[in-house]
Amino acid sequence: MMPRYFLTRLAIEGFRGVNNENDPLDISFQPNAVNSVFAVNGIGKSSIFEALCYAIHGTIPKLQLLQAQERPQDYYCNRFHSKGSATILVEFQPDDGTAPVSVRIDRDAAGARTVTSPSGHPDPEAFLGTLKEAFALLDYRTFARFIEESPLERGRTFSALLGLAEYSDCRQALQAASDSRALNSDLEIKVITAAVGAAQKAAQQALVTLRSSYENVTGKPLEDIDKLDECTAEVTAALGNVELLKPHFAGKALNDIDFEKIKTAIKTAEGGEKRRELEKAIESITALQALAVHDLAAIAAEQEKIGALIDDRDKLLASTRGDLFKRLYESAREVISKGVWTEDEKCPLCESELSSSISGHVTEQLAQYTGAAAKIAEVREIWQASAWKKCLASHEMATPLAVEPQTRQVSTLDAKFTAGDISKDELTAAVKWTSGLTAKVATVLKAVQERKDALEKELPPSLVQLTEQVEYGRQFKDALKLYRNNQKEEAAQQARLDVRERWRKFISRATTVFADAEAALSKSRINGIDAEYKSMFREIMQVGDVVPDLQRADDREDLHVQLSDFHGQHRLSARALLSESYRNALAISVFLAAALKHSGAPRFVILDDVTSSFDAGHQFWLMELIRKNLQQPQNANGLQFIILSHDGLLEKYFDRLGSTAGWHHNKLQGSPPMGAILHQAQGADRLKTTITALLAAGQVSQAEPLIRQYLEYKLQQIIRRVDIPVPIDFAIKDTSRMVSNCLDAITSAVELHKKASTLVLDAQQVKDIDITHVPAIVGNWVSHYETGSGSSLSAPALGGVVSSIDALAECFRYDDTSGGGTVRRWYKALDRR
Amino acid sequence: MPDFRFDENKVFLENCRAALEALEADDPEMAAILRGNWEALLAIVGEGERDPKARVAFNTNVAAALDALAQSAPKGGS
Repeated sequence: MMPRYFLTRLAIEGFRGVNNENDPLDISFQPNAVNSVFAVNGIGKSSIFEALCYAIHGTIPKLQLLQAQERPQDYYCNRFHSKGSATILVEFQPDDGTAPVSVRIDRDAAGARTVTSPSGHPDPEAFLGTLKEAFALLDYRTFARFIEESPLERGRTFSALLGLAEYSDCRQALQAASDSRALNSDLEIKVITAAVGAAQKAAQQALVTLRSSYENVTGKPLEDIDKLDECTAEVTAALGNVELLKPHFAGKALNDIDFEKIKTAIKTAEGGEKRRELEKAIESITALQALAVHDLAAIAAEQEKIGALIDDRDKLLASTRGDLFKRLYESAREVISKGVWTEDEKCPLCESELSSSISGHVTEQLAQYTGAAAKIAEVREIWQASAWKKCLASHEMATPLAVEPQTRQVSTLDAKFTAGDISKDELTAAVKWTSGLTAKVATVLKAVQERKDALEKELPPSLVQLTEQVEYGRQFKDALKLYRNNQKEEAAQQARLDVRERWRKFISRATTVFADAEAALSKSRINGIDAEYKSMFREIMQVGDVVPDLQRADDREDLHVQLSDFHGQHRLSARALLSESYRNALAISVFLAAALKHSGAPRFVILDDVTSSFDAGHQFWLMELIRKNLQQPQNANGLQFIILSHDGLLEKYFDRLGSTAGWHHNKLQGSPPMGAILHQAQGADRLKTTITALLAAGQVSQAEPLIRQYLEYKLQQIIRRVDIPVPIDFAIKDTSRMVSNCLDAITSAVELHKKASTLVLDAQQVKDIDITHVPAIVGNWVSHYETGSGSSLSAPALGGVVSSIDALAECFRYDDTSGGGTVRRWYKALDRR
Repeated sequence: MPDFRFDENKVFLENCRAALEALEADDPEMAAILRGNWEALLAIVGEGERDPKARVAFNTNVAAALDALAQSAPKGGS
């Protein structure tokens, strides 16, 4: 059993909104408690979430959405950090008690990422890879999208959530690999099919020559093509019995006989130019007769079909608007399909209202381009595999037809058909050219035949016939070799085709088997979380008569969200009926239920601002659900939760539970993106030490943001410790006036208890508050810095402000001697110790 | 072959191995080719994104294996 990991520490410097040069924001998290991190807007809470995204995933989703020209790579590191580099340190504690793992992620100014492990992990990048689970880092956007997405996108998100992302990817890979078009092109199935056809055709042509030459040598037709060995013996015997030829045939197989040598011997016996002319005439007759193998009717049908397709292509091209618009429509389709543009009846370019669907329009326009491309491909494929092409090539290359190389058309036509731009006129000319060549065959054949007859009459009859016999014997030998070679080639190519057909069936079957098994696993996991997410949804929303239901499609990855019960009505659309808060509650319930069931490496869940759409009541119920039922060790199989929030109402809940054993609360303060961000646990002492050093060095402007931070920390500490009530809008008031807001809350509360004679503070403390400390802070800070007037105060004046706030805090503490010794304690409230 | 199902208690790669074993009943030679190119298959889709170059690379490997098979001892599958 592999260990799972809790996140125990995060330290950030120079990343996104966190500058903290030489003083990293350093936050610890407890595995056995719910961890909350609160910060008002603009204090760097999102930077924490993004730092974890970058550490684990290597990217930040928000920056990934930027266009390349916006240079997203320039926004990872803090823009005010002097080195322009970033460091993120994360520490994880395994749940099996083994040694913690720490990983340091650096990003330099050039954008290069380096991952090392201070704890000595051998492969820290691979370790971070194991933490890439869909449930570990969740933000509001993830939840909001879950219901809004298409069923397919939702299904893919859900697959990842259920730990089935690898299965989903693998099934899609199988689907891509078994796609018919991909198989045809990647495995060259059409090329091999054409090679089989070419070998068949060549064998047929060889067979024509084989038959005619056999008949000419033996005087009888070749009837059984399966008895070619016997026919070969007959041809050898017929020629070998001629007295003049006997020495050349004695004891030899046909294949070993040198016909050129025999011809030379005959020429020697009776030489002359006419003898050579006769041989040539016989060769020409054979070549011309072989051209008769082409089926001119079938070729005419092919030509007609190509003509019709060219007409269709031209019509479709005429209805499109050219390449520039094609690219525009393709971009529009991408924008729409990726969900970047969701307003279907509005133009994404000019944002004007449309009377019809933009996606429908784009699809229709692109279909015209697709249709034209399909016609071009079809024309090309028909030409490449056509009998016409082979016929034309044979005729142009036939020596007796004497087609000059520069007038040959087949290679030009090949290029035009391949490019898909052959015109109707060019086609017509090519058809005419082919018809001219096929018609010429009969004329030339007649002329050659007449010349042969004439030569035969002029030459001595015995040697004329013998020359013919020898030439037919040579043709038989060559044709036999050609025939057998092409039969072998056909068999070899057919075997390649057959084995590919086996693969096609196999990979399709494998895809089906895998997809069915994945669907069954997915359904099983959905069933496994069914009761859990429904119960969570009920807990958060405190309703029983709205019951959501997730359904995976049988044959697709689609995930549908329905309401099995909606106030007594059944099987209704959740998307149509649920309000935003209900949708988010449903998404949160599904994600958390899946996270609980997951057995991946992360045993933590980071929730960033996920309660934005909830009112205080629903926030409370969600937090209680996490605290009581989901956080480990309350739930033995539970997870560690880290909740990031800027919500002022939720902060009250965090403050209340922050001091209990089951809850660990951090509050961020600071002045990002230029100044430092600190949290309470990092210690006000460190802050004060830094302020004192800066003021001593005369660096007043650098000290000012830290003084504000220190004042806010100390004043809020008084408010929290002494339980001073604050107005309901306290947290949402202008945060730049937080110091005066706190002072107002404190002095009002003191005044109230003074008038009611219930104030527990001693007289000197009250006097110091009223006359010394509060006026000093107001005079030297609030009235100067919160009004934005004038330049900086002097270092001694600001040092006095720091002393005043420390002294003010002491006015709310007393010496407790009840235990024997003296312990300095905070008053419990303004009316009691 | 009977309906194949993944085992809830196995990790992804174990289930993949089991699927390949089940597919061997259909055609052992084809299953061997798929097994030999499994890593190349997985490279075709990563985090939901298809990579056409990886698909071509996978099918090129498969084509070479199929040609070798056709040359050595061509025989019919199921």
